[in-house]
Amino acid sequence: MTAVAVIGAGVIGKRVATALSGSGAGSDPQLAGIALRGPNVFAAARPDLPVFAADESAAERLRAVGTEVRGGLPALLAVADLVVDCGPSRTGAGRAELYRRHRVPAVFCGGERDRGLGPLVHSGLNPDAARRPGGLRLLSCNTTALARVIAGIGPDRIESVDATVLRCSTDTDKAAKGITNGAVLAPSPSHHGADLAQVTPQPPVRTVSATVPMTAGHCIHARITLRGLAAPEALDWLAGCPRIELLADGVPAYTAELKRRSSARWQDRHRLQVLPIGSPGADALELWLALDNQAITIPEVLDVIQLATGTATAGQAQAHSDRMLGIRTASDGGAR
Amino acid sequence: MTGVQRLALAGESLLGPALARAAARRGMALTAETGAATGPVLRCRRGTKMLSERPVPPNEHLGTAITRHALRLILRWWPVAGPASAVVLAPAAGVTGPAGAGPVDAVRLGRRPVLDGAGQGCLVRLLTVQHSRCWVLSLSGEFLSAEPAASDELVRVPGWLATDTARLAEYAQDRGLGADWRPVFQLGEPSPGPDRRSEVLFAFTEAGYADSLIDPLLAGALGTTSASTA
Repeated sequence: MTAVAVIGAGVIGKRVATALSGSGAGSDPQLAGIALRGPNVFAAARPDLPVFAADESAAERLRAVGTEVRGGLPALLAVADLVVDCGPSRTGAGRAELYRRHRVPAVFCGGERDRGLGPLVHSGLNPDAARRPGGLRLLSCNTTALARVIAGIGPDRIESVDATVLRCSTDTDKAAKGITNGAVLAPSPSHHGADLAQVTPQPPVRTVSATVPMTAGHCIHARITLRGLAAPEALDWLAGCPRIELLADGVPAYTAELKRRSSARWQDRHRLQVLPIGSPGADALELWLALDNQAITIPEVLDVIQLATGTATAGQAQAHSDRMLGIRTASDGGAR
Repeated sequence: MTGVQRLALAGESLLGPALARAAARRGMALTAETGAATGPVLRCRRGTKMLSERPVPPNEHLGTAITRHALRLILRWWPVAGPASAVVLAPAAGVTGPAGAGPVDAVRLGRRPVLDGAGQGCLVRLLTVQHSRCWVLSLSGEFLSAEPAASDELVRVPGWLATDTARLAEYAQDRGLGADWRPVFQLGEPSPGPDRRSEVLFAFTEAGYADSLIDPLLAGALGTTSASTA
C-alpha cells in the first residue's frame, strides 16, 4: 500500500486528501496525513483526518483552534512513500530540499514553474515521465483540460491548437483576491501552450488568457485544426473519453449551472465539459471547454501517484483513479 | 389511495431550484405544472389526485418570506427584549437560481424597509447584492442571553473561520452539508454595543425555507382527507 503525505489543504490539497481517505481502509493509495502551516477550514471540518504541523508555531496555532496535531512534518515524511505537494503555487522549491533529505519522492501540483522540481507529466500524454526517479510536476487546471482534449483525439491527429483561456479571478474559498468588475487581458501568450509542449512536442499549441470575475470554473475557447481525421470523428473520440462530457444539445451553457448540477462534494466536476460551437468543419473543430478550476486536476493527481510508485500502467492508473472518484470507467482511458 | 406521492410546482418561481433540492432530499422529484392565475402553488399529489397544496410567495416577495423564516428561527432560539433591527444581504443569484437581471457591481437597495412581526417587531432592510452563496443577516438587539439555546437549527461557526462567505460556504461543503445547508449559522461572537444591545451576524440558505413549505404539505397529505380536490 502506498502511503501519501499531502502538504497543504487548500482547494487542491483537501480534494486529494478526501480522495485518498474516502476509498476505505486497505485501499491503495492511502492518506498518511496532511501537513498544515496553520488553522485550516478543511481541517476544522474534518477532525477525523490526521493532521501534522509544518513547524512548532503552526502546531501551537492549530491546537489553539481545536485541531488535533499528531506530530511535525518530519514525522509525516517518515511514514510516507510519496509526497503530494499542494502548497501555494510557486513555493514548492522551498520544500523540495526537505523531501530530498527525507528521501521521499514528491509530486508538485498546481503547475509549478520551477523545472528543477522535475518534469511536467500528464498521464494521458507522457506517463513514462512519471516513472523516472526524483520529483515531478503536474499540469495546471487549464493545461490539464487542453491535455485531455489532445490525448482524447490523439496528438498525431492534430495539426495545431489555438486557445483563449478565460480564467476565474479567484478560487471558491477566497474573498480577498480577484477583480470585482472587468477583465484583465494578458499581453503575452500564456504558459499553457509552453507547458503542453513539455509533455507532448506535437501539436503546437498557442494560448492566451484573460482573467474575469467569476469562481464557477474556467472556460477555454479552442480552435483545433485536425490532421487526417474528420471533425465528426474527432468529436466521437472525445465523447468516448470517460473524463470528457460532450454537451451537444445546442443550447447555451451557464457555467454556474454546470457546477450547481453536480451532486459531488463541493459540486466538483472531474470531467471536462466540451461544447462544440456551430457545425464542425471538414478538418477543424471550434469548442468551448468548461472546467472545474479546482477539481479538474484531481484524477490526474491520483494517476501520477500510481505511476510514480510503479503500481500501475497508465490505463490501469486512470481506471483506478476514476473508480476512486466515481467517474464512469472506460475500457481504454489512455492516449490514442 | 394507490400510487406514488409526488410534489409539483404549478407556475414559475425563483424558489423552484431550492424546492427541487428539498424534494430530492426526501427522495422525491419536483415536477412542473401549469401555473395558477393567483401565482405559483406547491402541490402534493398521489397519481392525479391532489392531496394538499399551498401557495408559494411571488418572486418579488420571496426575499421577505425567506428573511422572515430565518428571523423567526433565530429569535425562537435566541430571543431579544423589545424591538430589534436587521440588515439582510440577499444573494441575487445562486441557490435560488441563476440571476439574469443583475446586479453586476451594484447593490439594489430595495424599495422600503420591511417591518416584520416575527412576534418581536423587527425592522428589516433588505439589500440585493452580486452574490450567490448565501444570505447574510446582521441582527441588532438586546439579546436575553449570552448565547442561544442549544439547537441543531442554529449553529455557531467560530469567528476565525467565518471571515467571509467564501470560507463559510467552503466550510459547509467541507462538512458535507452541500451548497444549500439547512441550519442558520451564527458567525462568531456577538459584538457588544451601547445600551445592552449587541450585533450578531448570521448566514443561511433557502433550504430551511424550502423545507418549511414542503414539510407541512407532506404532513397534510398523510391524512386521509385532502385540502382540496384535483
